[in-house]
Amino acid sequence: MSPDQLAFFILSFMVIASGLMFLVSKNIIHAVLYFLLALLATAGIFLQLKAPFLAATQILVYAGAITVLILFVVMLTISKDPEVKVFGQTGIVGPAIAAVSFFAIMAAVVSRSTFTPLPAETAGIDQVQTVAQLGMELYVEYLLPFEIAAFLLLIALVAAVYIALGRGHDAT
Amino acid sequence: MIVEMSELLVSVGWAILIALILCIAVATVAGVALVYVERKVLTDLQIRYGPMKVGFHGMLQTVADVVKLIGKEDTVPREADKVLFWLAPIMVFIPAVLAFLVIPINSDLVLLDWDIGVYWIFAITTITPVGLIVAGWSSYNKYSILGGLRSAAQQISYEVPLLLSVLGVIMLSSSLNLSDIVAAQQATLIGPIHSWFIFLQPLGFILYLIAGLAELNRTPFDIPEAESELISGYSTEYSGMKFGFFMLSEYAAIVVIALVGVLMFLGGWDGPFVNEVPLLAPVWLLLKTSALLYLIIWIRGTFPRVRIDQLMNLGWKVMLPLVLANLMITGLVLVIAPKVF
Repeated sequence: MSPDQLAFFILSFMVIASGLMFLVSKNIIHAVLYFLLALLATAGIFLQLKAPFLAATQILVYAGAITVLILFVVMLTISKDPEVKVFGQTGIVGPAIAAVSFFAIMAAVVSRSTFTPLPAETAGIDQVQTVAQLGMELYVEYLLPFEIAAFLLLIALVAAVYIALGRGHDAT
Repeated sequence: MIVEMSELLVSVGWAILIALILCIAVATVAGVALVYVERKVLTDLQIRYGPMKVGFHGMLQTVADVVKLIGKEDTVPREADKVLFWLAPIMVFIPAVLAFLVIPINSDLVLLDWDIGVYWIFAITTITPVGLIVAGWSSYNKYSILGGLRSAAQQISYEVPLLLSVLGVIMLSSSLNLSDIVAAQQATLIGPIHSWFIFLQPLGFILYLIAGLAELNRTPFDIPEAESELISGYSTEYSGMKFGFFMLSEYAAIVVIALVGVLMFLGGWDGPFVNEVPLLAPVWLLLKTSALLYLIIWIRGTFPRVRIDQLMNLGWKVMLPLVLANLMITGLVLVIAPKVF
């Protein structure tokens, strides 16, 4: 086993193990921190796959922003005892349907796509410089999907502000 | 084959270990030195002497303080979440250390020559607020939780203008690598003046400095620590070296913000005679960083603290529109007259 493979297996194990701990952890703060560990290990996998930009983005958006957001919600909603039921009050049917259908969609997508392995000469390169390429792809090749995604986020933001202000209330 | 592999593993492991130890050493030395400098500059502003007893003009005072902190009793609140209480200082310290990985000290000396450079610094430091909230929560103390939450809220709000304020520089130099950004500032602007980005992006620099101060929880934005309201916030329950780690990461983060400011806006190691004497490069970098650090401490000695609502209003209603306008103007100029730069 090469060092790269070893690193990949260790990181993957960390992702799966902390994901599981996130699910079964009774203390909600601990659960959030296991989630953070899973996200950081995912960033580690990106690093190990020589995609530092993706790794940094994973840390910036998920490990940084999303985790803090979740922690804020937890802090503002829990009263004294942050104990939670492992499989919440909603029962098991709904989550099970969601999980199975998500798995089915992912399986369908993965089985339909064809993966072409990288040409052998790129495997030896220590550091693939990806930012410039990624920028060209994102802002030139796929500009329209990018703009649509940005607009979607803007709509979500406006909706969030509207809900936060409360219906019927004056904005000022 | 196996021997080769293990040799490779060992050499890669050594490289990582040495890089990390170097980063920790730089962060620690910079932090300890800055604590002393801050005390001296502040007392000078207040027409006092400050520490004078330990070493020449008290130069060894912070070293003695660190030794004292290590020897101190490490108290943990009975109701505290023991594991998280122990983990939080590390979660705050590691990002501050890892930020030093991509900072170059001259045109070819950098620990990690990544093309994502400055993006890495801003990405890794977003983990700090998580550590602060965890510190506040695990202390089981309402002042600590409030301090942690305030601090995280502040850092989240000011990350946006901080990132956007440097984006103008990145557009002009079309690189995220700090070495390339410094190289882009070596062109001649007018006469002997080089095209440092502070001249091309003056608004960007001012906004970077203000957002940086807020990001660092420094005066006038030191609301999370506000002694009179929060008895110093998230670190209230911490003692000994755990507290030392918070202190150290805070000061290391100040050094990082100052270094990045110098590299991105003040021409980095560019200065008189640097082409003739290459050894001058780190000296210029250090001098400029010291000047910026002096400015930051000077601001602390001069300004009163703002209120939390003033802070949020400034961030979202003044800083954000200004950085966006700065970005738009930069983009427009780049499209209309790309030859200017």
